[in-house]
Parts: sequence; structure tokens; C-alpha cells
Amino acid sequence: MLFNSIEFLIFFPIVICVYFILPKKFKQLWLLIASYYFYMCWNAKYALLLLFSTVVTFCSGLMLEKAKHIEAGEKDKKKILNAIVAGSFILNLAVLFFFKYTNFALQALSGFLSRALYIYIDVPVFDIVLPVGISFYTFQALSYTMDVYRNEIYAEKNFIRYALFVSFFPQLVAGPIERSKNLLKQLNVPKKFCFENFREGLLLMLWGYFLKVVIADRIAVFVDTVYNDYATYAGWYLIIATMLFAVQIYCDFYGYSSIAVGTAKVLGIKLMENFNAPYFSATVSQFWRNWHISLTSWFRDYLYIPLGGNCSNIAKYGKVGNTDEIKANYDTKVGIIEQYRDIFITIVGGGANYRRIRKYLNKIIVFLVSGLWHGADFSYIAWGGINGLYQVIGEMLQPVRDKAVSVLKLNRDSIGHRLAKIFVTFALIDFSWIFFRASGISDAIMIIKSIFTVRNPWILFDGSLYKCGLDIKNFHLMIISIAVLAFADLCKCRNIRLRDVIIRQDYWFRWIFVAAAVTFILTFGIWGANYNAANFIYFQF
Amino acid sequence: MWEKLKKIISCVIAAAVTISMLGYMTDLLERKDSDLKYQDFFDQDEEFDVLFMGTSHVINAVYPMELWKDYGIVSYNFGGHSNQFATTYWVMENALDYTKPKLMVIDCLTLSGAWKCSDIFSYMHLSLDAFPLSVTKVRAVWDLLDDPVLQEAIDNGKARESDEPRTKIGLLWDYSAYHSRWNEVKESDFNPVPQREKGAESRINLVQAGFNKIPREKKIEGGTVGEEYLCRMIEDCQRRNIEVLLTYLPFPAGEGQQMEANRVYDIAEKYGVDYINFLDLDIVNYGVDCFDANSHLNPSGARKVTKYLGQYITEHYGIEDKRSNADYEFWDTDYSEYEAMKDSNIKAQSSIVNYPMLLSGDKINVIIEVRNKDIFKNQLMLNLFRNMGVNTDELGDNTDIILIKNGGEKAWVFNDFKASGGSADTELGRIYISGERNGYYDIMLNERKIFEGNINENNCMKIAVYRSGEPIDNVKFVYSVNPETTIVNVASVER
Repeated sequence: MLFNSIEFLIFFPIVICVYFILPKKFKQLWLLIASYYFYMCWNAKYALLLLFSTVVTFCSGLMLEKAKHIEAGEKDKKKILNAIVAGSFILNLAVLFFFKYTNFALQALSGFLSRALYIYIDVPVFDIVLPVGISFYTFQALSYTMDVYRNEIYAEKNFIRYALFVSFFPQLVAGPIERSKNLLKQLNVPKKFCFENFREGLLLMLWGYFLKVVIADRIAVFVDTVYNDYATYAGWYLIIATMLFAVQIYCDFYGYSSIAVGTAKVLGIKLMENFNAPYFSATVSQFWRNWHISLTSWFRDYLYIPLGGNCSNIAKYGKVGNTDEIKANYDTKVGIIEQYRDIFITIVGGGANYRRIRKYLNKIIVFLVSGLWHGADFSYIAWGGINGLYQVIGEMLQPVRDKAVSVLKLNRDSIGHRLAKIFVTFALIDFSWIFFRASGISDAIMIIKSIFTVRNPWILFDGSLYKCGLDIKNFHLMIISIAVLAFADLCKCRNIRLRDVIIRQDYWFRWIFVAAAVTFILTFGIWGANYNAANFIYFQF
Repeated sequence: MWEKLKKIISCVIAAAVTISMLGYMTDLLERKDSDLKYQDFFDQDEEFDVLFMGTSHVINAVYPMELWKDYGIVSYNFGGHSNQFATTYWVMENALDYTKPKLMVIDCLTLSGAWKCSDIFSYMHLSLDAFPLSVTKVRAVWDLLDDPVLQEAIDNGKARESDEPRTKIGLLWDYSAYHSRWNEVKESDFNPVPQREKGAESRINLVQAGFNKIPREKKIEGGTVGEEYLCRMIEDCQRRNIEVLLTYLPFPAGEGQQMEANRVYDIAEKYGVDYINFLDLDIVNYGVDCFDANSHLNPSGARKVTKYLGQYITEHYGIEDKRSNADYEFWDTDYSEYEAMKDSNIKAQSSIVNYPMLLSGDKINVIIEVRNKDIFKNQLMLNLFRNMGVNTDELGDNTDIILIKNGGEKAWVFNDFKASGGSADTELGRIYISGERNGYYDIMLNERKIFEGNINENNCMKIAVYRSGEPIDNVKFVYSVNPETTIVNVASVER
């Protein structure tokens, strides 16, 4: 069921009405039933995978809780706890791997064998349908295992509540990837109807629908036209399409997240914000702190830090230049395999070099994994790698940049300087989106080549842009809508909450605003029978 | 408590304002075709006596306004483009939610059809959009879109690819389909011009066609989806005490369609209802009455069919003549607008073939002055003159003036007009030609100048059209006729 489908507009009012009417003890069960129904609208049998993940992580939580209290030595206890966590991760990731990466892995292996060893194998392509949202709920469930392991929460003993935590329909298929600390705690307390939550939730949903059906789906028409025939639409067509794709994917995902957060808000549940005006970021690392926050923070907490993070723990325990001590003091809980570390330390030497290079490597690893999480294709890995490299290179060049600012006497606080940084950051991020949007690495390379070699700037002025799937009226509406988004993000940067501004207005203004917003979205949105409803881009992850 | 009440009121008002805005936008953005077709039906509080059901053949062949003018029959044309029988059934069911007619005329084209609705989905919108949301409409949409046979045909490429996605919601809430028309909105969306054809549609063109009759014994097997729904229609009408008349309207039918028409005799007999198979009758002239080669009638053919049906219905079903009923006076007003539409159709014509076709059977008087007599060598033109009641045996190189009363009720041909005195008395009045002055002359009817001409002008035909004594159009076709092929080439049309 899509948020932008008629089915959801029928489903959601029924869910909230029944939820608030039911006695407290049935509320969670009702939401669980609704969530599974929501998921099963796509593919009923794949709900079994969701249930499998839920059962495995629920049991692992209980086992971890029990193992913490068994009478055994710390070392043995640790081994047992590690074994349980490993079991939970292996089972969940095996399912994820099978459904998402089997074909990719086989193709990659075949490619490697044929290119490196001249061994040619006819690899079959399995017809495996990717379960919707599997990456999201798997990561959410695994975070619970880790949180119990790390003593950040107690294991949940109520299976229905836990199953609801994994399958909570607003964020089930495309996030935000919630933490057990936040969501499980809220699910513990059945909610009463709250008008303020209802109003704020609806406003958030309206904003989400605006982003999705008015902006993202309109831009998609243009971008698809250009990218699907990049040989014809060369040069500046591709530049414009790539810039618009940056907005499309933002609106698509931010739109989904807003609807999800708003939906949960109506039910009295507060989900984390997933975006914070990312395209106003002045650096790539700031962009990643503001983009898909729930996933970025997941990788930070459950991958980057275990890998060693910024290696601050080494700095804390180690002594610069003393590789033995570093090795001895390094926290094995978050470490990587011993052999790798030994070799690495031997190569790069100890101390500052080690910390710096480890940090760079960790970043690259995290972004490569993030790329792979987004899709089973080398183009996604390339996209992740490029973003990792941006950050590594950015940090490596920091002294040079500082020197340049100092020599040229630039004022870092000036609007011009800040705008330039925002522009450069956008350009860098946008460049990486080419790999995300293109059908594969080779297509991405062809598109980049076209962008840098074909000179046709006149298409910006002769009306050619209105022949790429959007007529002149739709094109102008798209530009106006993007301006509205930019204004809203600017307000966000300045800590102005537009929702609060609207809510503070007189009642008559609010009525007209809501009516006009609904009418605007329904009229100018790309939806309905005259249109083959596009899935949210992030569902495939 | 007051706070709670305030919040509830606030929500209700916000919802009401939203619904009002959406309602306005729905009316503004929807495609107007369906509303315009059914507008007069929904605007009328009084009952309709006769409803015509079927496909586009019905739309193009039966003119309710003519039935009103000639017989006082209050009827409505519910024919739908590309309707399959199941669609016709549901159109009838929806219509019967709003009126209770005395007679249901059902045309049986597509009886052999296996689909429930057209493969072109916009036709479904045309047939159903105007009906308000109701239980009947929901049942209709659910039934019509549950059509695995059509789906298989689409999947196999045996059906045309639909112009629009086939969705239930698109029919039940047409805003979901039409909201994207915001960039096409024109003045006509704000001020739609009402049609006064009561569901019919005059399609102006002329194609010469014909067909070979097959024996009545050759017919399709029963048990088709189309027949199933036809039987449901008849049974439902009989349950509601509505009389049923089955028809098979005339067109150049293929063998399969004639077999359909022959099968209907059995169904009519089974249910004890009347059946008019126009394929067996000599009502229309396929040489001048077809709009296109394979199916529809033009206004000339439609007027003949309408006249026949009017007589038949009046004689067999005792439908009350409502022309003197004060409650139906507004039909006269509508008829005036309908006449104005017909007049504008005539004035818009620049085809030397379509023009005389349009004049046939209409309640108009026509005066034709023929200067280029070669036109009588063309068989189609002769057919068209015959279609207007002219005795073509009288036409020849010495024909000057032709007078036509009431679109063909009576006609006068004046040969050697000037030579024989230049004046004559007819039922339309006295026609005469003035004396020549500097090479020019006038042709007058009842003291009114009809044509002004040059005596050397031998390359044209002039036509003047009058309705109720008032001039509608005065046109001059300048043409030449190929001596070998007799094809008429029009050089210009002057008004």
C-alpha cells in the first residue's frame, strides 16, 4: 500500500478511528494487525520474512537478557552474548543477502572469474522478488539486538509490542529506521486522542504529500525522459536533469518520511526527523548529518564506531608512537578482526598516522556499505565510495583550505563564502547522484562524458526544456514548488517551524489554509487514474 | 467541554471548506462530454417516456428532438460510444434510478460481444461520469471492471490499448482522472455550452457504402455475454412494467453483424417483445446516408430512422403526445436551440456533398439555382438530389431552379425557367426572375430577393436555405466537373 494511494486514504482513517475507540489493552494488537495488513497489501507471503526477523530478534533479546544473568565467568558470558548477537545478525543478514544480493554476488563472482582467471561460468539469474522495505526493518530489528547487548535497553518481553516495534506501518517500508529506545518506549504507553498531535500530524502529512506528488513525481517525468534517452538528451539536458534529480530524490524520500512521521504523530507516536535541510549544508559531512539521519546515525552507531570511529578511544588509551600499547588497549568490543589490525598497524605505523588513516578507512568502509545497502549494483557502491572519498579528501585538504583562506584573507562568515560552500557541496553531492540514478556504472560514465563534452546551452533558452515530458505550465509549476521547498528549508535552517506559524494563525486562516493545501495537492499532484502511481524511490532499498 | 466542542466544530468547518473547494475544482476540471450528454436528462424533473439504449449507432441514428417536434415523444438517447451490452445494461440501471419510462428501446449491436466494456476506457467515462455516485453506480463499476476476457484480450494484443488506465476509482471519483486537466482549462470549462440533442449526436460526413444481405437462418449461437446482459435488460424492464422494443439499426453490416441481427428474432420471440431489424427494411439509402464506411449514419440517415421509429412507437405503444402539455413547454425552447445548432451546422459546411445531405429531411425550404449543369452528370449528386425529393429524371442541361419543401417532402424542378416565362407559383410561393440589367439579374421568391447573378456566370450552383420563412444560409459553390470521371471539383465556396 502506497501512502499516495486511494487505499491508504481509506485505510488510515479506519486505523486511527478504531485505534482511539478501542480499549487500551487492544490498541497494540490493532496496530499490529493494521501494520501486517499494510505490509501484506504488497505481497502477503513476504510477511513471513518480517515475522521471521521479528521472532529471531525477539528471541535473541530474551536470550541476551538471560545470558547476562547466568552464573559464569565474564569471559564465558561474553562469549555467549557474542554468540547470540552473531546468531541474530547472521540469520537476519542471510535473509537480506539472499533476497537482495544473491544475483549481484553471483554476477560479481562470475565477472571476477572471467576477467581475472579467465574462467567462464554461465551464472543463472534467479527470479527473486525483493521484499519491500527488507533493508529497513532488518536494520531496525538488528539495532534492537545490539541495544540489548549493549545494555542500552532491557529485552522486550511482550511479543506483540515487539512485533509492532518492528512492523509499525508508518515507518515499516522506508523508515525512518527507529531505535528501540525511542519507539519501544512509546509503544509501551497506549495513546489517547490528542487534538494537537492530530493537527500537527495532518500538517506534516500534507507537507509530505506536497513533496511527493507535486514535486518529486513531477520532476520524475522530466528526469526519466532525459535519463532514459541520454544519447538524445545530451549535455545541458543532463545537467538540468541531474540537478532536478537531486531535488526529486530529496522530495521523494523526505516526502515519505514526513508522511510517516505525520501518520505516527496522529497516533501519538513521535518518530525521529529524517532530514534537516540537507542541501543547505556547507560541507559534505554536514550534508550526511542532515540527510537520511536515521540511516546515517545507524551506520555511525552500529558500524562506524565498532570499526573504531574517529579512533578517539585509541587516543584515550594509547600512547602516540607505541603500537603495542595501542594494540593492547584497543577496545575489542568495537574492533575489527585482529589480523587486519595487526597488518594495518605494521604498515602505517602507530599513533596519529594510524588514527587518521583508520578514520579515513572507516569512513570509506561505512559509505561503501551504505552504497551497497541502497542497491545491489556497482553503481551504488561507486556512489557510496565517492561520498566517502569526498569526506576523506575534504579532511585531507583541510590544512590547504585553511591556508588559502588565510592567505586570501577570506571571511568564512560572509554570506558569499557560505553560499559558495553550499553551492560546491551541492555540486559534489549532485555529481554522485549520477551514479545513483543511472542504470549502471557504464551508463553513469557515458552521462558524465556527455555532461562535460556536449555544448548546447541554448536549450536553456529556446524552449527545448519544455519538450522533456513536462509542458511549459508543468515546468513552471515545478520551479515554483521547488522555490516553496527552498523557502521552507531556509526557515528550518533559521529554526522557524512553519507548522507552528500556521497553527498560531486565526482559525479562519487555518481552515482556508488546510482546504487550499488539500485542493492544491490533489489538483496539481501527479496521482490518480490518469497516472501510473510511481513507487517511492526508497522502497527498493 | 466547550474546548472539545470548539475543536470538533473547527474540524468540521475545515472539512466543509475543503470539500467545497474540491467540489468546485471537480466541476471545473472534469471532462465535460459526459455532463453535456446527460445534462438535459438530469435537469428535467418530469418523467421521460422513451429511453434509447445501445452503442454509438443509437447516438448517431435517433434524434429525440425530432421525435418531440413530429410526435410529441419525450425521449432521451442513452447510446454510448463503443458500449458493450454489459455497459448498456448498467447505463440503463443507472438511468432507471432517475426516471421511469414507458418504453425502453434497445439496439442489439454487439450482441455477440464477449467483453463487458469498451477497450477504450475514455468511452466508459463518457457513459458513466455524469451519473452521481450511488449504489447502482458502484455495482456497475465493480461488475464492468471484473472482465477477465477483456483483460486477456488486452494482454494478448487482441484489444486496442486503452487510452487511459482502467481503474475503478477513476470511474467512481472522476477527479482522480481529471485533476491533471488543470493545464488545459479553457473558457468552455467555466461556461460549458449546453447541447440540445438530448443525448444524440449529429455527425456530418457522407460515405457511399452498401452490404450484401445474408439469409435470416444464418445467426450466431446464443449464450454470449452480450446476450446474457440483453436478457437481463429485458427481464428487468418487464419486472418494472416497462415495455421493450428491440432494434438493429441500419448500417452497412458485415456477415457477423447480420448474424447478430438474425439472432435477435429468437430473443424477441422468447420474451414476447417487438423487434425492428432495420437491415431487413429499406429505410435508408446507404449511398447517401452513411457517416462512415462501416457503421454510423449521418443526419440524413438518422432523420429517416427517427421518423420511422416515431411512427412505430406512436402506433404501437400509445405514448402520449406531450406537445400540448404545459409541463413540457421547455422542450419547445430546447427545440429552438436545437434548430439553431442545426442551422450553424449548415452554415459551417463547405462540402458540396455534405451540404445537400444536411438539407435532406430537415424542416427547411431550399432554393437551388444551377448554373453549371455538368453537376447532373455526377451520380452521387443525383442521389443527393433524389434524397431531397427531387425527381432526377427531370434534371438536365436545361435545369435552372430547384425548389425543395421541408427537406424533401415535395420538390419542383424548373427547366428553361427564363425561357418559359421566368415565373411560377408553388406551395412555397411565387418564384420569378427579374429582367436583365447590365448583365445582372435577380431571382425572387414572394417578392424577396434570393439570388443575384451574372448572366455569364456558368460555373456555379447557388443554394438558399430558409427555416420558417427566415433565411439561414445563402451559399455559392464554384466548381468544375471532370468530363471523364464526372468528379466535382469545388474551386471556392462563397457566402
